[in-house]
Amino acid sequence: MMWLILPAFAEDVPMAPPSGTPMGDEAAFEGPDRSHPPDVLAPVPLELDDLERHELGTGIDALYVRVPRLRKTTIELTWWQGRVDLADHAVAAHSVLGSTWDLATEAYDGAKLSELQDVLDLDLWAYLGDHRTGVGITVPLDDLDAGLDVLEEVVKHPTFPNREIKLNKEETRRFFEILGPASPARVAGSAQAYSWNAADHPYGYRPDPAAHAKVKRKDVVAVHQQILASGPASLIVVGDLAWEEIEPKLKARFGSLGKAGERSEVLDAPTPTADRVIAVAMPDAEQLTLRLRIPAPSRLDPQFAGMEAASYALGGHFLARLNKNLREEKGWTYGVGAWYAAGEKRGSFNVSVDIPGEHFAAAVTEIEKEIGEVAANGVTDEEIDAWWRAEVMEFNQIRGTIDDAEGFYDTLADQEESVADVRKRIDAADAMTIERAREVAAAVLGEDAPRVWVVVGPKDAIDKGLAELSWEAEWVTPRDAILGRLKGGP
Amino acid sequence: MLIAWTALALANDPFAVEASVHTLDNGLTVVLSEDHNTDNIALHLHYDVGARDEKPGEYGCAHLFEHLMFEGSANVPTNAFDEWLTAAGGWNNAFTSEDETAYHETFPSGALDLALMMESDRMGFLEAGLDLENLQNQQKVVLQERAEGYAEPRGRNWDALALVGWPKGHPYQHTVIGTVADIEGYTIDGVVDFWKRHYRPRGAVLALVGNFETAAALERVEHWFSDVPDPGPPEERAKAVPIGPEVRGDHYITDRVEDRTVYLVWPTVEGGHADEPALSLLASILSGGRGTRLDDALQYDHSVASGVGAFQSGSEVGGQFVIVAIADDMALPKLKAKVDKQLAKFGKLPPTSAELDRAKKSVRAGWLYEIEGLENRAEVLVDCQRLHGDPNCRAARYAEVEAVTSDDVMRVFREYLVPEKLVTLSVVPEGDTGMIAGAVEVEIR
Repeated sequence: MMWLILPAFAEDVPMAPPSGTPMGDEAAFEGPDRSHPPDVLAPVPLELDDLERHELGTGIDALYVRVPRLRKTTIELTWWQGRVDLADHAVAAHSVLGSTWDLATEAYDGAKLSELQDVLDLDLWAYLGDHRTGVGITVPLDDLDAGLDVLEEVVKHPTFPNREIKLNKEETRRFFEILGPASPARVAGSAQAYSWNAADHPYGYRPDPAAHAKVKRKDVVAVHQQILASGPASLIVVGDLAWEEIEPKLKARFGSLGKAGERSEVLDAPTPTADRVIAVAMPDAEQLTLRLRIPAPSRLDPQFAGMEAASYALGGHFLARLNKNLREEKGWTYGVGAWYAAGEKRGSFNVSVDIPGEHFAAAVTEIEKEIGEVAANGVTDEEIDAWWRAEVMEFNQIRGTIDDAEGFYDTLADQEESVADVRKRIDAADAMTIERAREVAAAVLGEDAPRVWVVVGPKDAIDKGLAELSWEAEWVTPRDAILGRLKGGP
Repeated sequence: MLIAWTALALANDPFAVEASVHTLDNGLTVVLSEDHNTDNIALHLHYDVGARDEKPGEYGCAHLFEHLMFEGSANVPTNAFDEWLTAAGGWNNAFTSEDETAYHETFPSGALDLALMMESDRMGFLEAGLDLENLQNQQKVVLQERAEGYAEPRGRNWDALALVGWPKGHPYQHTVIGTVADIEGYTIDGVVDFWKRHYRPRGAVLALVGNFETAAALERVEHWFSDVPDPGPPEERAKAVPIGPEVRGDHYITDRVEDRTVYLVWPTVEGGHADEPALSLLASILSGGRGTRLDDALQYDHSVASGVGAFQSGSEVGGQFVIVAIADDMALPKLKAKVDKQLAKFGKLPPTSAELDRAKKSVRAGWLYEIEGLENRAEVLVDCQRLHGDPNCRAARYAEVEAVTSDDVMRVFREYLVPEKLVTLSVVPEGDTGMIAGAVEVEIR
């Protein structure tokens, strides 16, 4: 473990004793020593229990962990099959199912189910992802049985009222036509996301407003039945309760729901191999919204830790290099976001910033300069140490609330990992070196790495910046950006 | 140092947080609450200064300090607050409202001394860091913050509501972030004066929640804040201005939107007023999801509106009851008429016991959620102490909620939601004429 090396004082900052006048007799007063920052003790990762696996029936198990002193318990029934596993991907119906599954059941109409959530302090949700599908509750221990009744009812007897389906379709239409195209942030985020996957890849599906508008209740019911017939499934249980207490309740309600099968597998997907600039003109926008994405290693890649270190230095905290440069030194922005997202088979490094139009080209230059600096010289010992400490602090927060605990253990279940795997990553942060971070940053973020830039804002400001940068852009409308109707592909 | 009060968690009180309250010799109030479920500590330090305390020429200044407080103090160089805390593994942030400015951080327990050193340094000795370069840079950052907020659809609505919902001279009648001219107009002398008038121990409450032993933590707090001078009690804070007939009528703004929104705003009561619980429950009964009056009538059962909401907002010297409705195509006079019709219907059909119970349980769930995590709990403890003199105010406040009857809800409905006190704000697309008839355009600079 490296010791914390505190930054030196800047020469132009006064080192004088405090300017205030202490209380009482000055001569006798012994105030705190402010001549240097106090020592900081290194944090120690807490010991956390792992998920226990218990068979509940054929094709269904429970992944359970007891976390002391949590007021509420989370129980989520997850099928390890998702949208990409459905026949013809059923995208539109799948989307409607996700939004209407938890709204009404045979026993509870929409108003009653909504009321129950308030009265029982019950959070209820449905989740439909590319590779998993789930319905879950978070409920106080005192109301566990009532919560389980609701969960069982929602899983087995949803009614998908036509009224709710109609409302959902209307909300979706409003997003595609009104809310999405009016928001520079949504337009930029959408263009960036769709630039990542080809339209003919299962991950690259584009919304089809016409198909969405045609979804019927029977389509939604069919997808629901398809999910119930899929397998395998798990009940993820996190809370301060004994397994012996919950096991019979889970078996009785959900033990027969499992089906033999394999978990859905993450697909290979190509990443962009050439630079690309997507521009969206929004004449009335007050700012330029700028996004950058660069392909990066997966979380299973040996380069993962080095990339995490590089990402932390560039965007992992308030005074990370990009924010320090563009906000604190230049005053061009309220803030820069920069982060590394890593999946099982690929990852990406991302930058997001809003700036005045006149700084477009200069901001791109500064962002590239900071990335280039990390690629050339790696990160500092101080950055590595701070990153490790931040990782430990986040790890030590896991027992804090049901949301923290559920989020952590759900990720373990999803990625089929253990607490020890997470601890290994924290140890890898501890063992990171400047040279290793440099090697990885040079390989991943170097100037030869393909970049996808998205810029949204007034056309004249974009044109000026593009000319200064000698870039050619692929122009799309805000609505096409929201719908993923880009001209090129990754 | 005075130990003013100690609260012990009561077994049957779900809101009780074991906490102790201490007053330092310089007047700083300190709330300490142990939680050994994690290794971290959350710190909240709230100052009794917000937009309400700004005089003309100072508008936005409390929010500006949310930035300047990170730019260095006598013994913490420029940017070192973030650098040192980040190096320790922690993070920090701040927020500003009409009534207070809050500085908060979460860090591993081994960084407690560091956090206290830096907070006490900027409480007592910030002036050394208030230089022109830092001020000018943060002016640019705040202008960007304002521009980014305004760039998004509906980004100006709340500022417009502040302008039309309060009378001239009311401490809430200007925006928290200030106008462009306000922000560009700050001088170094002005901000130093603002700091001297408002940032002092007697006008602040500090809370620590997390992995520490109370006696040891208190000793460290006393140590680090012992040299923070006590310049005396804070400046008297701005009081409410009576709301007369000048705050009435219909207003509008145009925005980069393709739908139409109408806000209905009635002046009500400040936070902590005896009528606040009934007004909050009224809002929840009108609009709290499927099965509530306005939501069903306007959104779920009939697609009149694409969105509906209602809430009671109780700040320290005033409050408002707000209903908001959004529609794609319907002109706002017609949409408002639909809302009016439901309000008239409510006047004839008092809330049922089930409606009232649901609304109360919803409040209870929200308040319990707020004390689960370290950061939120620290914020609740500070606010309870600041506003009610008791970090465990939630139990007593929930008892007030529990005591509300259907008659109480009807009484506040009839007393406050009256047409003669109504202010409306229409938000419509550029060039659209679907606003409330006769509405006057609001100028947001």
